[in-house]
Amino acid sequence: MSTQFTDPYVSTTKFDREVNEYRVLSREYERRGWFLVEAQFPFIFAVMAACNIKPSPLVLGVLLDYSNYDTLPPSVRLVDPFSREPFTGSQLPTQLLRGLPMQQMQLPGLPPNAGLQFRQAQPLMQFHHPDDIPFLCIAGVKEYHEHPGHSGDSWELHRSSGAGRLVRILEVIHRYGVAPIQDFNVTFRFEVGLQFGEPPT
Amino acid sequence: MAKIAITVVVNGQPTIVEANPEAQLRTVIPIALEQTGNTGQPPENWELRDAAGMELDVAKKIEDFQFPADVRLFLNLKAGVGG
Repeated sequence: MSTQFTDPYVSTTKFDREVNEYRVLSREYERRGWFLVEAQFPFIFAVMAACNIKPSPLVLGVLLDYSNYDTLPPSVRLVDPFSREPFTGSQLPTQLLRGLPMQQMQLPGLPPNAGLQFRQAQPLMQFHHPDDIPFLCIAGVKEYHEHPGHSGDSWELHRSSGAGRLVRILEVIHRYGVAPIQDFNVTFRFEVGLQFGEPPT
Repeated sequence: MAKIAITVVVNGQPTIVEANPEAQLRTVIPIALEQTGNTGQPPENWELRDAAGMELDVAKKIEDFQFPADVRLFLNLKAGVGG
């Protein structure tokens, strides 16, 4: 938790607005598989289930820290929905992949428009090492604006657009991280070894 | 033609927009943004979805969607460029 240097009245009022507006439509969000588990300033803890498959797994938890809001944007972490421990890069159940526009590559010798078409996906969860705690790489998230690579895209440019609002952040996480889940990926692994009889005397 | 009321939830904040059924759906976006004080980003940086999360074609006429009277649409800021 950050040191609170913004007037606590301002931050708590805005925090309460986020929570109250969420609760007005909470049934709507529950149908998408979002559940607000706890909201006590400055933290909000929500979990998301993939409700389009049965049985519906609890995919992830989201821990938001609204300290100093909205002088600063909220901190956002994807966490284990049961222990609330942040996922490391290697533990992430989803990297929030966003499909990029289709790209075309012209190959020599082939007629125009007969080249390769491919589509890449960009992970919105970013980390350098598998043991690092990833951050959600979008404007409106504290870790994004603190990253030296985004020094040209300050929070002040996004503050009035609602980029740090609770529902907006949950919407992004759900859209790219949970909604695309279509089924369980089941892997069977067969192992073949040597079976020995009684050891000879 | 009489206007219809559409509830638009902007980043979680509901507002009611009086819309012309013969106009394109995109016309509700700037009104909803203005009514909720979300002035920091232009309308093209927002996306409109239905309750099921399906993105709506904002170029279509409002009347073509045949929205029920209690329709609720969700207007959210696009994720922008990450990385």
